[in-house]
Amino acid sequence: MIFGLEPHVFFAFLSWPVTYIIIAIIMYFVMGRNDKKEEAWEKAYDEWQSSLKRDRKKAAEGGEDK
Amino acid sequence: MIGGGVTEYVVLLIYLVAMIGIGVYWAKHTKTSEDYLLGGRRIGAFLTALTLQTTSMSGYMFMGGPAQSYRDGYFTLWYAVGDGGGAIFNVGILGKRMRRLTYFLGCLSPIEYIEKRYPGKATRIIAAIIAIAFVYGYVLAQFLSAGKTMCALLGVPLPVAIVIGAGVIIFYTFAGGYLAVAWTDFVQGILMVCSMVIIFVLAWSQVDGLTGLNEGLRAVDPTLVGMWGKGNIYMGQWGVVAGAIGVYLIGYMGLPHVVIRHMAMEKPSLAKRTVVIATVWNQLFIFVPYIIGLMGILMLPDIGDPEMVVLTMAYELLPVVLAAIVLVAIMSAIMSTADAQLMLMGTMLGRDIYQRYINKDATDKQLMNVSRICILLVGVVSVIIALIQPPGVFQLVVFSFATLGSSFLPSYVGAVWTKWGNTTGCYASMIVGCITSIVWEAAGLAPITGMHTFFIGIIVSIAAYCIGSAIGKPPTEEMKEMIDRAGCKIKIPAGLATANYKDIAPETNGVLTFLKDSSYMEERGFQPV
Repeated sequence: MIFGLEPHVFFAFLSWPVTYIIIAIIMYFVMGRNDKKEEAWEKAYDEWQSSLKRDRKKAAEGGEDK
Repeated sequence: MIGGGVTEYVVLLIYLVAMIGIGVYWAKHTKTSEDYLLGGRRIGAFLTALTLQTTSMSGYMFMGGPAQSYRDGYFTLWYAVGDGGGAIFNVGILGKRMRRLTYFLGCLSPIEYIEKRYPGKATRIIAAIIAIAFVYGYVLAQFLSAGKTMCALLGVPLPVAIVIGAGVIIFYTFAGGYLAVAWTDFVQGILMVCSMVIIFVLAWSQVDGLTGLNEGLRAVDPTLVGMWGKGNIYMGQWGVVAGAIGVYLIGYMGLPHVVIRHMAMEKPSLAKRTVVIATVWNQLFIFVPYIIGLMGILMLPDIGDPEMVVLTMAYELLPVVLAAIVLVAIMSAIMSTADAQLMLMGTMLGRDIYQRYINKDATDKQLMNVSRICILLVGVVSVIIALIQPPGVFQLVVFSFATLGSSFLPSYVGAVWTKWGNTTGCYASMIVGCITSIVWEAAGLAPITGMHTFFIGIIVSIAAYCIGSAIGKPPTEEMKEMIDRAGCKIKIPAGLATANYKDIAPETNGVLTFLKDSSYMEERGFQPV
């Protein structure tokens, strides 16, 4: 007996709150690890896009000069 | 009538005035339509978690849930097992990516998001019809619940109770928009969980803890502490168990008034904290009421109405002022669901109907004002209908959840996780999911087959999404790129990635400038993806 319940009943019902909290904490770290990667990616993406925009603008200005 | 003394009225009045105050405060801080409809996308993790969960939970957890466990014993906790993990699925699967994609697509409503992700002439109209019809059913029933609860607990005449309860919700939603809804949800969420935990802790000592509770229940009826309900009436019904767990584990991902919370997050990275906060809140607010119901079997064996277990315990264990706060917490649970649905109705009618079909060039201020007027109109009409009390409103609510979930879940999840999900799949899943739910419910097939309406609805809807997407035209390359961007999947030329590390490696600055030169990049074949 676990807290007056048969083990299978205890695990079927009352083990979940702790299990879910553990899963949520694991997710916090997993998502956190991805967060850093994703934030780095987002910055790099923005840099890339703005550099492409600048290049296009430069190319257009150059074209006008000619 | 359980309450009805001066203390209860004073506590209720303070609570209602506080809610109105929050509405007035945020009305002053709401400048743009994005502020009004999505809180300016600046909602933090704690607020997101609480508004997400309080919106998902209604007054059922104070009355219906404990009453069920009072009648059926431990079996009822299967529902809690599913519900308790809902936030992990909801925020974990949708949170980040939906926040990003809706921001990139410039969406202010969950229906607009569906339309922009699955472009097509009929997308918005189909989605809006389903969402407006079934969310409206919800609003109506929540108003009725608020009135009936106030009437039953305080002895206020029902029409007066409906007008007061609904009037306050309409006022703060109308005035302060999403920010008022989120902050009132926050206060309501704290009230709800504190009330539950205080009663639980006090009752815990009365039944000599968990072992004492279980031994006491075994002495009353050994099947109460078994897996299959009192008298083993649900023996071997694994289909019902799977449905009960599955429905609440994934169902919230299909509810428009719930998923809009992801869109309002300040930044995607807040999702990780939101998962933890929402999950902890869930364990306290979802498992505890059911266990209080079990405690009620021992503490209140002769209670006439099991729905009053929590309240009766509150009055037996707490001073009147704290018991009155529990009364207010029940109202909070109802109001926190009703306000989110009312807000969504205003958003959909303003953004998805008015600005889309009536006045495409509406200014930001016009959109905000129209949304406000829609909230007011929907609220007033709902109050009038609730006063008439049409039969079947509560039955409508029972399958509103299933119908909304079946109609939208595959499209919401598929939108951010698949690049093959397309407009045909979206149409098929919305129409087939909605019709299946309605037919299953109308024909009364749930009790006959032992399969929950949502369970069958979602299976058919997912199948329709996959089949429709297989035969339909694939999404455009731009949309695929957008989905990749939401998942941070686009390959960025390697040299540019060093831009992020220039703070920690300043010597890379020169290299970076060189790499940014487009001719250098183009010569080496780096092209936009």
